[in-house]
Amino acid sequence: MSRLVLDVLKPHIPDLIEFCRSLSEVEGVKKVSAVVVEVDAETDTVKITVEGRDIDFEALKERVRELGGAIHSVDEVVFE
Amino acid sequence: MIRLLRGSISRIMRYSGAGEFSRRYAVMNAFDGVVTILGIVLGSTLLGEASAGNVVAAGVGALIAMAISGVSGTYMAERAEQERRIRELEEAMLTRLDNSIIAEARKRAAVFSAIVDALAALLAGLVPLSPYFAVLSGLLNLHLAFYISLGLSLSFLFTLGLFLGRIARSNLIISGLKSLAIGAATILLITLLNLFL
Repeated sequence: MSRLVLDVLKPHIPDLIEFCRSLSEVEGVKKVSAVVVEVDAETDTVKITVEGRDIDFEALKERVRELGGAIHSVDEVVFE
Repeated sequence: MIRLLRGSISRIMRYSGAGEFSRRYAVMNAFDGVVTILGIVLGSTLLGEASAGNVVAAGVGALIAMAISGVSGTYMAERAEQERRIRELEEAMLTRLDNSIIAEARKRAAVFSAIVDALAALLAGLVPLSPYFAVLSGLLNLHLAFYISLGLSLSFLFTLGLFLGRIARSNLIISGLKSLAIGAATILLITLLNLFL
């Protein structure tokens, strides 16, 4: 898996920079980019694009959960 | 090791908002510590001829009691407050946050606040008590220790006022003087009380 687009709900803290930095440390991930879709009172909805080689999706999911977020949907997947 | 600890503390602060609470607890309890010792020193000196040993025993006893009450009270209050925030966030997220770094940081923040609370009272209280330790080791006489202790209390209160003024970004001197006035009011009240006892 070389590319993933995720719809993620996260609390305001940790902020997007820290959130993405932490995701970029997951095995197989080379690049993480994110766009804020919506800001609510307690949460942010963000679209996160993860690129790399042999991305470990389970580890990625676990890292999102550790950071207090939840993956709502996987919107795009690329295998190479 | 120290870098790791600093990183971990700064993360606790960022994720839980504990920085602000801890600062508030630190100032509040430093005030408590200093004013309590001021009261003990004044009361014991004006009311009767207490020995340095008596003042130190009473002072240290009071400070230990304050530290214990600070640790337990703050921990329980802060833990409840932080857990409520976690529950609120869980409701907004529609998911459990157990084992997330946010829940972890918030739980640790309660411990951190409790330690700050206790240490602030203890260390601040030791400042005006220190001349009496000097009397015990034969470096000062009792009379001089009393005035040095008063001076230390008042300058500590003034410094706390300066610190609060810096936080509020208001006039430092006025903030310092306000805080000094609290010490002066304590001295006045205890002196008046002694006139009637």
